[in-house]
Order: sequence, then C-alpha cells, then structure tokens
Amino acid sequence: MFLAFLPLLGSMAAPAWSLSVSEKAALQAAMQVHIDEQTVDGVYLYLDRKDGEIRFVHPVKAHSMILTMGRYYVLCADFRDDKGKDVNIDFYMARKGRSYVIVHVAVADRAFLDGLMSAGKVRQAD
Amino acid sequence: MRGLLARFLLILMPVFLGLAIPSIGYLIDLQIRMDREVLATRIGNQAGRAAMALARHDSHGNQLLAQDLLAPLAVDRAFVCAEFRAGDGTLLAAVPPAQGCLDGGTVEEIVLVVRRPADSTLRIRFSDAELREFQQLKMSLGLSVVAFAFLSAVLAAFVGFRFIVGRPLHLLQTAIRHSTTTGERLPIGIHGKDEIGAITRAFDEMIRREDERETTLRYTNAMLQASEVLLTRNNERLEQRVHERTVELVHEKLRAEAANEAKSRFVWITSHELRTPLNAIIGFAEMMEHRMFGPLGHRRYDGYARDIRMSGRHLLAIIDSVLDIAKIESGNETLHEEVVDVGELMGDCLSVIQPLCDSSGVTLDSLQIGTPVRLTIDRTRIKQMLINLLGNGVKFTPKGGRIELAAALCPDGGIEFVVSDTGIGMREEDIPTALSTFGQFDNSLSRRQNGTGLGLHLARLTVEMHGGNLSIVSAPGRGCRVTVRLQKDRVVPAADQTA
Repeated sequence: MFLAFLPLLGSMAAPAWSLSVSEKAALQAAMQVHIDEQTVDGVYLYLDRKDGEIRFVHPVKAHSMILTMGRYYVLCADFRDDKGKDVNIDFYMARKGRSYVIVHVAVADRAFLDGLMSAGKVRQAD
Repeated sequence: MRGLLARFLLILMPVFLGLAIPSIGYLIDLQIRMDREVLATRIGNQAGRAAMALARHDSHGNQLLAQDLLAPLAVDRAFVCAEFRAGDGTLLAAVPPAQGCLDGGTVEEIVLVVRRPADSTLRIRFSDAELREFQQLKMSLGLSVVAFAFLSAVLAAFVGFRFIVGRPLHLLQTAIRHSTTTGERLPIGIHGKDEIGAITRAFDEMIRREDERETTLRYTNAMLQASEVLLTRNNERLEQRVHERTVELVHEKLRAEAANEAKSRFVWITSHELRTPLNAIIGFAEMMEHRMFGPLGHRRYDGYARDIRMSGRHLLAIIDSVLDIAKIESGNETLHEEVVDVGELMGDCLSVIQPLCDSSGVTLDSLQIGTPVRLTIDRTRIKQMLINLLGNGVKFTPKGGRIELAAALCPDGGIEFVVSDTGIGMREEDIPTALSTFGQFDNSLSRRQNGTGLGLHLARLTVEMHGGNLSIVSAPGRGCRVTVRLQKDRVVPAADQTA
C-alpha cells in the first residue's frame, strides 16, 4: 500500500515550478554556445574589473544544477587559469524565442550569487 | 510472550514503514532529479558544441562536413535524431543521415539557432528513457532495500526481543511456576544491566530474602518447639511439685487445724476449769473483805482480802478474754446479729465509760451521725468492743486529756466508728504488736494500767467476724486513733431505716 504512494511522495518533495529536461538541455546548450563564442584560441576571455585587464581561463566543467531567478536562470561553470586557480563563472540567462541568451556574466563573484540565494531571490530549479 | 512480541511489532512496523518508505521515496526522487540535470547538461553541452562547430566551419556549402560534425551526437545513448536546416528549411544535414527526425514517439527536443548560415537551426531530439529505466531500477532497488530492511527489522526485533526480553521473562515465569507448584524457590541468575535485568535481580533478591526469612522462621520454630518441650517438662515438674506441696500443705493445714483446735479446746477447757475455783476465790475474798462472818483478827488481813479479790477479778477478765479469743479462733463462736440503732449503741457505750472518765479526769466527747442509722450486728460484741477501745483510751490518757467516740457514714455506704484520744500514743512499728495476742508493747505500762494486753486483738477479731477491719493511727505523745470500719452490707438500707 505504501509503495503505491512512492512516486507521489517523490513529486510532493519537488517545488511547484520546474523545468523540463529539454529546457534544461537548451539552457546548458545556450551556455555552451556562449562559452564557445567567447573562447579565443581555446581560452575564455573576460575583463578583470579590479585590475582593468583582460584575463583568460580554461573551461573545466559545466555544473548540472540550474538556478531560477523569477523568469530568469542562472547556470554555473568551473574554469581554471594558467596558475591552476579555480575560477567560478555564473551565467545569468533569459529566454529569447525558442532559445536562451546570456544577459550577465559574473566572474569569480560567487558571494553575490550566495547573497541572492540567501535572500530567497534565487533557488534551485526542479 | 508471543502476544507481547506481536504488540511490540504492531507498534514497530507501522513506524518503520511510515519512516522508511517516504525516506526511500525522497532519496530516489532526489537522485532522479540529479540524473535529469546530468542528462540535460550532457545533451546541452553536446548540442552547444555541435552548433558552434557548424557555425564555425560554415557548413552551409559543405553538407558532408555538416554531416560529420553532427555524427558524434549519435554516440550518446540518449540521442534520438538531429536536423540541421537552413533558414529556408532546407535540410543541410541529419542524423540518421538523410532521414532526420521523424514524427512520433515521446522524446525531448531542443532547438538552437546557428549563426552561420544565417537563421539556420539545429534541432536535436533525445530520449529520457534511460532516466525511466534508472527510475524503475532505483525504484525496484529501493523497494528491495525497504523490504529487506523491513524483514531485517522484524527478524532483529524478534531475535532481540527473544534474547533481551523473552528469555529473562521466560526464566522468570518458569521460576515463579516452579515456586508455586513445588514450593522450592529457584533464582534466575541472569542479571543484565537493563530494566529486565533489574526485575530479575529484584526477583532473585526477593527469593534470597524469602529463603532467609524461612530459615529464620524454621530456626525460630525449632527454638519454640524446644522451648515448648522444655516448658512442658518444667510444667510437669512444677505440677508435680505443686501437687506434692499441696499435699504437704493439706497435711500441714490439717495438722495446724488439729493443733489449733486442740489448743483452743485446751485453753477453753482450762479456762473454764479455772473460772469455777476463781469465782469461789473471789467470792470468799469478798466475804472476808466484808467480814460477813466476823472480824479477820488483824487489820492487815483486810488489805490481803482486797488484793485477793482484785487479783482474782483481773485474772477472771484475762480468762474471759482468752476464752473469747479461743472461741473465735476455733470457729465455734457465732454472731448473734440483730438490728441496732447507732445512736443508741453509742449512748450505751458512753454511759458505761463516762464514770471512768470522770474518775480519771478525762473529758469524753462524741460525734453522732445526723440522721438515724441502724446496723445489723452482734450488739453485745460490738458494744463490748467499743467500750474496750474507750477504756483503753481512758487508761492511756493522762488527767486533763480527752477521748472521743465518733461515727460517720462512708462514701461507699459503709460506716466507721472512730475512737480517738490525746494519750501517750505509740510508735508506728509497735501497732502490729499491739494488735496481736498479749500484744501490749510496754509490759510495765500494762501492769500499771492493769491491762490484759488482749483487748485490741479481741477487738480486731470481733470486727473481722463482722466482715470489717480495724486500723490504728498513732504517734508517741500524740494520742491514738482507732478506726473500726464495717461494710455496706452491715448498714440497713435507707428505705428500711424508718421501719
């Protein structure tokens, strides 16, 4: 009798709003397209606001977790510089037609994202 | 025991299932969501890289190159199909080749815009069948884990209950049954540190105390039996001695009574035999004293005749007293009871003793009862007793002294006659002697007062014959107070006083 409620109990644990696998794959693909577009000679370039210099990092791993911020989404990827230092880059994305586009890139600013999560503005998508 | 285990399982199992199944379900759901995210990430990355490869190599004019760039997508097991179309819808490349994505089937789909050629799109379809397979597999695995855990929990509960609770309880039950059926107490001997162990320990302690108590009781019982035997023997000896002593006492009593009777008879006979010649002596002495047949010839014979008469009368008084005592002590004397008015009785006594008081210079007083009271007594003996007591008072009270005869009713209904004087008195330790036969403690005084020493003893016997008692309170130089107390039954009831 309890076994019949197993899927129901699983679904009850999930948030009311969720993303389908296709939407998640589309978001991951859009992030991948953006990273490829920004990659020059195999490295990802970005502006270091502290030093006012263009820096580059190597892509390492895309996070499978997708965060939502209202109608927008946040995806994360790990990068590493030549010194072997890990650099986290958060991609803030929005839907555009049948695809998605990057609206903001936060390089090595995980504290900002943590603040949004603590404030309840950002949560994990189901 | 089984009922206890069943109840225990009835409580344990719903709790276990209620906690285990939702937990397993939550973990499986969490794992499925992670798998979905991993699948989406994997497909998304491949699709993104494919789209960028197509754009980077401008594969519009080179369909074979486009076909080659799409071909790696087919390696992924979730991949179903892919189409790369130009902005006008022309199919530039497809996987499977020349076939692309056919309609039908439940699949997931993503569409990516490729920059070159302009407005071209890459459509990729993939299946989440692997997720469903994993889901079913994990579901089955989860159910198996729950079932296994459930059975393990039941088995563990059964075994644990049997060893932790069941075995000590069984031993306890066996010990109690053995004790109730055979009366022999068996300790359990297994003492854990838990609550059951405390119970078995308490049971063993209770058995130990019961054994000690029983041992003590047996010892006490044995001691009591031994004491009983000893007591029985002692009783037998005592009874034997009492019997022997009783026999001896009976013999002694018989001998004493015989001796006393012989003595009384001897005294009575002797006294009676003495009275006859003594009366003759007194009579002849009086005749000589009164010169009935002429002068005696010499004046000194007059004195001798008076001495003979006085000594004879004294001796006669002694003999009379001795006779009375002998009669009373031999039990041959009986009371001649009659109803006597107390006032009249006291008046008679006072009139007899008044001349003696006058000649001795002693004041005589009396204190009567306010109302008429009558007694059932031997008038002669009681009157003689009171006169004797008053006479004693006169004898031992110096000139100018005072004697008193008083009567009073007691609270218990009896009556008291009190003869008191202001005479020489006596010491407290001499009072018992004074109450005995020939008990005048001071013989010189007795001789001086011409007393026999038998008066108080005879008074006591007279009172005791009436069921009363006589007591004396006295001190040297402070007079004497003799109280004669008669019981209530000697007093005629008030209703009969006027009759």
